[in-house]
Amino acid sequence: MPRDQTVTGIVGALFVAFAASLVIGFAILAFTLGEGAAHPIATTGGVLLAIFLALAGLIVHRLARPLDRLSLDVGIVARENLGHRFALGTRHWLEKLTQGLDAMRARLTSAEARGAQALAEAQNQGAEQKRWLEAILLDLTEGIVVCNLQHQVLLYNQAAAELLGGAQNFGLGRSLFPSLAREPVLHALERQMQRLESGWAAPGARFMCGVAGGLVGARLGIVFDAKGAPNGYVMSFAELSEEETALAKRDDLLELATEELRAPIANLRAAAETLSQNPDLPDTQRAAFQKVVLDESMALSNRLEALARGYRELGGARWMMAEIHSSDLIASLIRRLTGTPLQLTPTGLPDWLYGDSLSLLILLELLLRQLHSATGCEAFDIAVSRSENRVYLDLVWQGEPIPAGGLESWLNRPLIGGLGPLTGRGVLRRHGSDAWSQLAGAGMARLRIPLASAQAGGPKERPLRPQRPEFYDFDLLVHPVPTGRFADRPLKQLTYVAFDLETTGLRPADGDQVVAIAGVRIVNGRILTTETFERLVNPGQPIPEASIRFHGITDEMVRDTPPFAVVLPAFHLFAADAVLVAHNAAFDITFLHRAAEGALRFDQPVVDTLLLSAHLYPAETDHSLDAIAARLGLDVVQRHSALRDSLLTAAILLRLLDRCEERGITRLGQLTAASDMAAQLRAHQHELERHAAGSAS
Amino acid sequence: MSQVVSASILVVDDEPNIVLSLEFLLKQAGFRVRTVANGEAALVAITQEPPDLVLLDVMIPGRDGYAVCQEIRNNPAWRNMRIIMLTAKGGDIQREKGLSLGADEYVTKPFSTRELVERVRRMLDRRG
Repeated sequence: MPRDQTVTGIVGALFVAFAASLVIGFAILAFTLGEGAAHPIATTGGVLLAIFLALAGLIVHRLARPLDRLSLDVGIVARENLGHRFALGTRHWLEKLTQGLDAMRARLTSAEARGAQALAEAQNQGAEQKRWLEAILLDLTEGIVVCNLQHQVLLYNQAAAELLGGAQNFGLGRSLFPSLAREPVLHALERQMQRLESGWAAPGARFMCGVAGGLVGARLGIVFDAKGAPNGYVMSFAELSEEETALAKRDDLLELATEELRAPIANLRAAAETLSQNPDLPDTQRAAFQKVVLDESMALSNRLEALARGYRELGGARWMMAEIHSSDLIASLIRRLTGTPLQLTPTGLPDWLYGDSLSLLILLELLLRQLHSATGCEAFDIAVSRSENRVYLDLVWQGEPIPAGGLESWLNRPLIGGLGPLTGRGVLRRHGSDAWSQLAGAGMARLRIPLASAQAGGPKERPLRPQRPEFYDFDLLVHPVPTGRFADRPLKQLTYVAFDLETTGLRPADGDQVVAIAGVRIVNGRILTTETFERLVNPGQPIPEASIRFHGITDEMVRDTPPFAVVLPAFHLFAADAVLVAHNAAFDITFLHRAAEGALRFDQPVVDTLLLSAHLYPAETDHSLDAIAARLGLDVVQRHSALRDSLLTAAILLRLLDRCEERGITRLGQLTAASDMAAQLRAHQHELERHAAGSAS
Repeated sequence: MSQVVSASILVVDDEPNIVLSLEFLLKQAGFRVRTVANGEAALVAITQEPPDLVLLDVMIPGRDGYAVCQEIRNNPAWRNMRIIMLTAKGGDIQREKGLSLGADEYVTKPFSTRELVERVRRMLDRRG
């Protein structure tokens, strides 16, 4: 049957043929039987034909045409649209068939949906596994490279690229060997294959392997395809660890201790024995032996100093320690204390320290519980501060310091929490640390634990920020004398909010906009580390590349964030009842006022740390945030620059307030007066410089 | 010089071999010297007759040197008493702990006896 032939066509043709043969049949019959029979035959034939045509029409309309329609529809359902409805109307005899087809369609539909869902789930799972793998690879400090058996790189992580000396000869699809020595890898691969054949699938031992920069420690494992045949290998490698370096140094020290001390001790002992066994030595000989005793004692003292120094330098490398951010540690501690009556308020400047997180947590919890039962206090501050290469964790409470003997007995109890027989003293020893309790200002006491700073290696690299132009809008800067609650209380007892903005540029008057705002509260001279405000803001305009370089906030990051007008009321609430503090405050205040548009009032006093610094240190020329921080030995490690600068501004303010107190500036009115003076001086000075530059050009 | 001659020193250490030398040298320098070997005895001796200066070893039996130091500083009547901690604990953190708890100086062993006596003399001179 040709493709485009329809049931209607075929049935119609059959009917026409049958009708025609009927007519011809009757005509032949009439002709054969003669004229007498012609009339009844014609009548009968005509009736029969009429009945036949009526039946044929019925069949065509109720059966053939609907069948054709249905076959078209089924074609559409099958090929194009599973949801396509059968347009047969109601006058047909195919009810059962269409019902059957509908049922079939329903099954198909649900099967398809299940299939799509399964596919989506599989894709999701695949994507999730990929994300996991990426996260794992990124997180590993070990370098990871996956290669096929032709040694082409199929996958690698950042650490691998760094360890193998940059990206010049290294990349996907390229050979591993320009970057890594061939021999050790081939040897390890061969050994691993041998192990496989002998049925031993354990990961291979560590081996040394040459790279451009020197040696790395590596490990190799075989990768299999779906049928279980080897089709590649994965290598992990790491720099020869600090522990290995430290071990070597400790060996040197031990050698020094055992060998280099032998000789002077021998000399000393020989001389001392001679002196005591021969009481009648002549004076000249006695003097010679006494000189030996003296000289060797001195030599031993010096040797010992060298040993102790070396030992101290090795101290940090002894244990499995990691860089810990104090905020993470304190957050965990607070979680551990939920359900107890203890209230912990984090204060100070968050910092990186070096330690073992779990044992520190358990120690701090033990100390807090003991402090609670010894003093009855329930509210404690946990203050973080840094001095040189040390980060202090201080538990601060209202009351008296704990006697050293009492503290010692707390520290000598075994800790609970899966650390075996370790005591608090043991944890401190592991950290090369100690603990003590002392006064911390009037009526306050602290328990101090010094830990190694994870930044002891020196300040880390940070992009230099462009200097913001200093603002001298005197409407903003010259303050009315503070009144009411701000006027009467000592400066350190006021509540402040130190805040900072990141913007699209440095010229608010030319349409630059805010992209981030952050702030932190300072209460009673404590930076409340967790009472912070931090929001990204959609500036409603592209962020210029130049400013992204400094604050790291991209268009992508602010695409779904609210505009400043929406964020501002929340900040207004956060800063209510507090003195505002900012560095080069007029810059930030300008943005605040412009966005507030009179709907909100930021009418609290403002302290500018730049002007305050200029007033207190007139001899210094650089009063940028970083310069002041460097002078005061302050630094903050924080992911987002606005919050970092807020914290830094807060810390600088507290230090400057100490200086103010020494100078007799104890009330806000005195402070703003001093700042205003500094502002006018600096504005005047800038004016002079501009004049000088103008007349010179 | 007369006040220096009459100044009194309490040596708190449980190692007789170092006490021997310290007692001899300090007496030779003109100080009045008493010696005790543990923390409790130190506090008793201080209560009986407050010395002008305490040479205090950290690692002593009973209450340790830190505890004795803190105890002395807790008593306002003994505010002018000088405290030099002598210790085999050479770490920076131990030094900081000692000074934080109120010691005036922190000297690690071994030390030069001549320098130590000199330091004691200077400290008591400064006290005036």
